Amino acid sequence: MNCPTKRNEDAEILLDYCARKLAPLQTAEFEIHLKQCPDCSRLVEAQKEVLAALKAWTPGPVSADFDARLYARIAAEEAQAAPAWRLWLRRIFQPPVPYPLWKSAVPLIAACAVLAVALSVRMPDSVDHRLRADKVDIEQVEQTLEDFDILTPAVQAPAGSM
Amino acid sequence: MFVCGAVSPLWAQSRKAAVAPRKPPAPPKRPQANPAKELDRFAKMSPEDRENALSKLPPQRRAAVEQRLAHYQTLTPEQQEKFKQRLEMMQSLPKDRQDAVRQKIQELRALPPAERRKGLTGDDLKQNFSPDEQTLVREAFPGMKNLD
Ligand SMILES: [Zn+2]
Repeated sequence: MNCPTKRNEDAEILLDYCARKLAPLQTAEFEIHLKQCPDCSRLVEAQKEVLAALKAWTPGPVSADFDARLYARIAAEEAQAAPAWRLWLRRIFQPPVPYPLWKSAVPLIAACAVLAVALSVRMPDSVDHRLRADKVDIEQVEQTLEDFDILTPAVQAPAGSM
Repeated sequence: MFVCGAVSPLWAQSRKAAVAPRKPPAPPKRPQANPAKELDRFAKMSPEDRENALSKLPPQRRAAVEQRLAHYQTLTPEQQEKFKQRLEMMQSLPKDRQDAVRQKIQELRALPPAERRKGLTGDDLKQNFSPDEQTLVREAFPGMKNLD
């Protein structure tokens, strides 16, 4: 067997072996090579460590005052010279209400953002409209006035003439 | 920083979604702007703008437009509103039914009053026109309304 570390195409064998995804025959073959190849041994050990570490890692619980401490830190960093927009942002995202309350407002904020985008995307349309306001479609007006002439009696019967 | 993080993917997504389908539709021959609004816009134009628009029509059609507009502008706002409702009802009909209504009204208008009255109450109107269409036809002859 060729050493997988020598050819890029074979590097997968190494990863698959560590992930136990290699076919039994290939596994046996590779293990024979592994015993006599220090390079592969080192890589397999390293890879196993990474996998073990990932497996063992579980995200720790977030402390109850995490948000408060985060905001305090942000505030401290920005205290010196905060631009107006940052103060404004902070007022929105750091209101004097508990986190769960403003968290419930996030969908609303997102909806507003989407709406704003939708409006900005639609802007070409409103521009069209303004242009059309200047240049009215005279043929459509003509057709409408024709309908006006048809649908509305030419001489309005004066009230009480009946 | 929160805003950028939370919104930018959404922004990109909705922008893509909103832009893609709006691209190709070929401009229709007669733009489908709301006819009543288009008429109001025309009626409220400055004399220069109106002159500019009218100059695109041959003299005869131009004269007809000017005459009808003058008539339209003698109506009270309530009467104009009533016409817009009728126009809307008309617009809601299929093209061929719009033409049938127009033709029927013009037919009746050409008749002497007695014949016209018969036409407005006769079977032809009841059998060949939907209730909405009948309303449009009858309302074109308000003087006849109470005579049947
Ligand atoms: Zn090797």
